[in-house]
Amino acid sequence: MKKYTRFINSLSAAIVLSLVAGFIGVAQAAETKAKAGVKKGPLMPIKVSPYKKRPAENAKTVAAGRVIYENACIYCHGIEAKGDGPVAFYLSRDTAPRPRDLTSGVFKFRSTASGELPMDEDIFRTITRGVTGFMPGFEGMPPADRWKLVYYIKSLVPDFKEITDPETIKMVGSTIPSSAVSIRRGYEVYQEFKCWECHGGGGRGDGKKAPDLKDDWGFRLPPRDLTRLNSFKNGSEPADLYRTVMAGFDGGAMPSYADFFEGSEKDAWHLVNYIRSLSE
Amino acid sequence: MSNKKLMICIGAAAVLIMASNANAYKAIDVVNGGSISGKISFKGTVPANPKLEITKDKEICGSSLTADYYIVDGSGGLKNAVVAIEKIDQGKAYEKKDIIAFDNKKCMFVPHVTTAVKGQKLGINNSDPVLHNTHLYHGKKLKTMYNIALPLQDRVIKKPLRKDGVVTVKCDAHEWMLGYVYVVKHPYSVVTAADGGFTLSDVPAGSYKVKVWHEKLGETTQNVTVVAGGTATLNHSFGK
Repeated sequence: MKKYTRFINSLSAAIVLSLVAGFIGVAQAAETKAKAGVKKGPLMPIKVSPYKKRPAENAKTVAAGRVIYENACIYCHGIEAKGDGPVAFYLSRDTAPRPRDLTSGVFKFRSTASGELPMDEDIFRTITRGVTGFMPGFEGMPPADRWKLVYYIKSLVPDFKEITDPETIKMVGSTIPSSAVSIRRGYEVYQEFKCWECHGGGGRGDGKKAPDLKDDWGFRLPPRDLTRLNSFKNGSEPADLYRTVMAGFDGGAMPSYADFFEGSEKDAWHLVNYIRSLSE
Repeated sequence: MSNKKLMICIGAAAVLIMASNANAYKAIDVVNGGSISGKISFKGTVPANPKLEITKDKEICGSSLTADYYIVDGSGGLKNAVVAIEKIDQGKAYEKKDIIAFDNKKCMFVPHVTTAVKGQKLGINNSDPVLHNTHLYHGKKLKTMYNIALPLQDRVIKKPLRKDGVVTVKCDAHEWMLGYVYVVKHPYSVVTAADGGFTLSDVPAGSYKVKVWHEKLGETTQNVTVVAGGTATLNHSFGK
């Protein structure tokens, strides 16, 4: 009984945490972080881990990760990690995203090609930052614990054992300083690559294809309003946007553009500048 | 490491290697092979193909499209069914580098159904001047396999088919679009022609379980025995 009360307490705490931290805190934190220019290692991984002190991946750390999962994650992601925790329903009833079914093997935030498994660093980054407006960030959790969580999450998907060398997305070039010329070129790319068909001419997420988009689970998934930089689920730094455009959001409707930017990656950086300019 | 532990390790490794070999298809010279041929048909009243509601891009897609789920000719021949040997470890060689053509044309997938060998690449094209995205889903649970944007016309994007099984293809931008890629581990699969006919050639003599699959009508399995130089017959009727 005592255990049950404790669970309910944690449950309400988790709801409050999700709502408060998720909807306000994380957005603000992201903003402050962006302003302060804090960088958490390369965002575009990554054969070599930028996080030197990560613990070894073995049965022991996976088991430890499971304990952490059962304390921090089950309320939303569920006991069996199928995205069906008791809080899941309150997060979004009719629209996506629900907490991800971590056993599905479909990962939204990746620096790998569409359909590939994410890099360890991708999962680590998502745990650390959370998903703006939906999942709280766990930056306060010791990095070693976050790594153990990564290992536990990987243990839920057998493919991680078979596919150890996913096709990564190369970050070609780097951020181009924003300028009128760059933004203008980005606007042309936005037109040419037909981003407006879903995200709308003004980027408000109201394109002609917006109303019909759904995720893998059949929930409505409206395209992002690109005029609200702080609401971007995969981060709003230039490298984040580059990664989103290139890799797409597996499980959602956002497709990967990597093949079409091949050889003209500069245009992707211009597009990033254009998208960021919509919020100014 | 003690000897005993070492032996266990070697044993485990051997089992692993054997297990992985058991999965792989081996190309051999098929001498004294035979073929499997026949007709897949539909008996009874053919269900009407639904009218697809075209809600956007009418200038490209047209204002009225009809689904291509049931295509049955005058003799009952069923097009776009798949006939595939269920399990075959060795047989004729195939070109691993073959690109399986898959087009987005007038807001429909062409072909509607195709087959491929696991590991081959799908060559995805967009013939339309609108944004399509080719979104592959694996298995009955429709888990995303990959999702590729096709913003520009006539540029073929090649992407590997890494898993076998029924792959459902959709386009998020045009929700009525639907296609299938039936992926197997060997080259013995075929899509039925307009008259429902098919042939699987150069099959090593032996007994096989052969699957007949149709997107809407389900699937069935038949035992077929192929003798050297002979043609085994497989006929199946869906419906009544």
